[in-house]
Amino acid sequence: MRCDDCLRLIEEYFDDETDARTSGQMAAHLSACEDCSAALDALSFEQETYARYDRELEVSPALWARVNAEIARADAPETRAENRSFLSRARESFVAALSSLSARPALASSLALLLMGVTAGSLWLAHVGTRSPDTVVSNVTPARGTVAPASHGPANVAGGETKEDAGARAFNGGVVPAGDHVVGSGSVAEPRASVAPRAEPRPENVESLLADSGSAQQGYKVIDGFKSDERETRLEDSPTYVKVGGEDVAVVTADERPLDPEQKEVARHVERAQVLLRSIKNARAEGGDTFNVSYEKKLSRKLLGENTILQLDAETRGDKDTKQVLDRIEPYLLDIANMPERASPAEVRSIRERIDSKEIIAALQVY
Amino acid sequence: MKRLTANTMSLELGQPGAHAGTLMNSTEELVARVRRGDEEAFRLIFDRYSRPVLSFIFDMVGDRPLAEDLAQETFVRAFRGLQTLREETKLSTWLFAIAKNVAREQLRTRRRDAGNVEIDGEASFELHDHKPTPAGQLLDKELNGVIRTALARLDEDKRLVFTLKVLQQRSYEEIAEITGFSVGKLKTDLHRARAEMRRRIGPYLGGEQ
Repeated sequence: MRCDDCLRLIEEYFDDETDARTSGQMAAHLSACEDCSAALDALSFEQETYARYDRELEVSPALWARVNAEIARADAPETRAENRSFLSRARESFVAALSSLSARPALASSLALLLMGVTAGSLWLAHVGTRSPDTVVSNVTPARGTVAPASHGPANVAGGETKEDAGARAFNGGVVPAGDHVVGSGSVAEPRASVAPRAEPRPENVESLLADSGSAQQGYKVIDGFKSDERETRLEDSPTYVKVGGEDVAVVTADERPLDPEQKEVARHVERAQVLLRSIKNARAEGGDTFNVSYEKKLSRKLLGENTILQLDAETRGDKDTKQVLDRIEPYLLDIANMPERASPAEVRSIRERIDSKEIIAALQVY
Repeated sequence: MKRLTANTMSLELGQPGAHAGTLMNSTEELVARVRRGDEEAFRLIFDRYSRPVLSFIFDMVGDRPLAEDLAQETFVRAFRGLQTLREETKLSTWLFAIAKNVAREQLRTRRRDAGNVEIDGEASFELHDHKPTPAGQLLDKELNGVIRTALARLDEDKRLVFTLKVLQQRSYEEIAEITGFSVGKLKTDLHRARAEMRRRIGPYLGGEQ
């Protein structure tokens, strides 16, 4: 072994990170070379100095008390109240309101009259609503198909599924790229005779339904493989129901659920990852047939760090869907980050082929 | 031979005077007990790892009260997320990863709020690169200040890798898991961090650097 090689590996050797063969060669060289041996001694001396570093920190018993209190606080009933269902909180409020009304008979009778009026109005509206032609809806129970938005848009979407749900399912293999024809086992929500009669011929599947409503042009995609029981679970949280022919029908808009800050951060991250992948897909060769991917490389490194933080956050929160999306992005980020700044056509082609074959951009779009 | 056993031991066994039961329980057992609702087991985990976690966070943020707050947040998150831990044997790595997230979130917020990261007391530990002082003449306290200042001046990635390797004695594999960096990147960052630290504290290391 030469001194150059030894000095190149000396930190790894010092850190016990070289393999057995290299360690043997290093040891042999170090025993014979005074200069390299001095370099190793210097590292040892440094390490001893750092070992003397005293932060003067003690873990006070108060720290455990604070951790314990915080954990207990999270489990306390008043904290859990924020997470209780809307119905149970509404029920409690209703009971409280009724008890206060018992002391004011005049107000109570006025409210009773008002309530009757509202009920009558609602019934009338529900009756008219069954004949309303312009709401895009799907059946709650039997349908298996659903629709996920590819971009933020104001359109109503059938299926009672948020974009987060759709994105998660997309990564379980349910994505159908925009424009592809959907072939499914009757999985697509068919409009029923009682719903949305239109002057035009009735559409045969969700894609054509969306085409009619203008949503398909906005990038919505059809995803198959939806289980009815999953849907029912999610529909409990859906914001709007209407009665159609005696059955519950959900009407959900794509952007009705506000994103929390963490979800927003993930959404921004996913969007930037999309931009990166598109940039690689569209990169053009410079003179001499190489691709200048220095910008992409830099962005990828940045996103890689961010991705890791978000992955761990998602894992900590138990957000498996987000974790899955981030896991899927990671290999692309790694590969791009490790590309040379002037990449060869073969290197760029290899990543492009993977982007295409895995339909990663389409998958990120539906997140 | 090359690793300092004292630090390694402090990592595995926690602080001196840690709960006596700590040594009797394997990590897997403790995790399983917490999952079954045994609160005492989480206390044992805290006893075992609070010191290295607190030190690590302190090295990252450079502020004692803040480090305590972030250590608290780390353990609260860990408690809530323990059900998601897949490899119980890697509890320590997992805790450090949470601590790293918590610390980095804080640093990000601070950067947003203040424009740059300030480490408390930094100004009081000015380095005198051109006036070498033998290590033996320095009070330990002064050396601590010098190391702390030099650490604060490393950029975040380098500080993270340097702290985990040199001060916390983690393996490259563990560091890669905690940080999400590739081994190549962490080796490069570590090499540069060591060089930078050497340049800054060299005068205090006996003039040989």
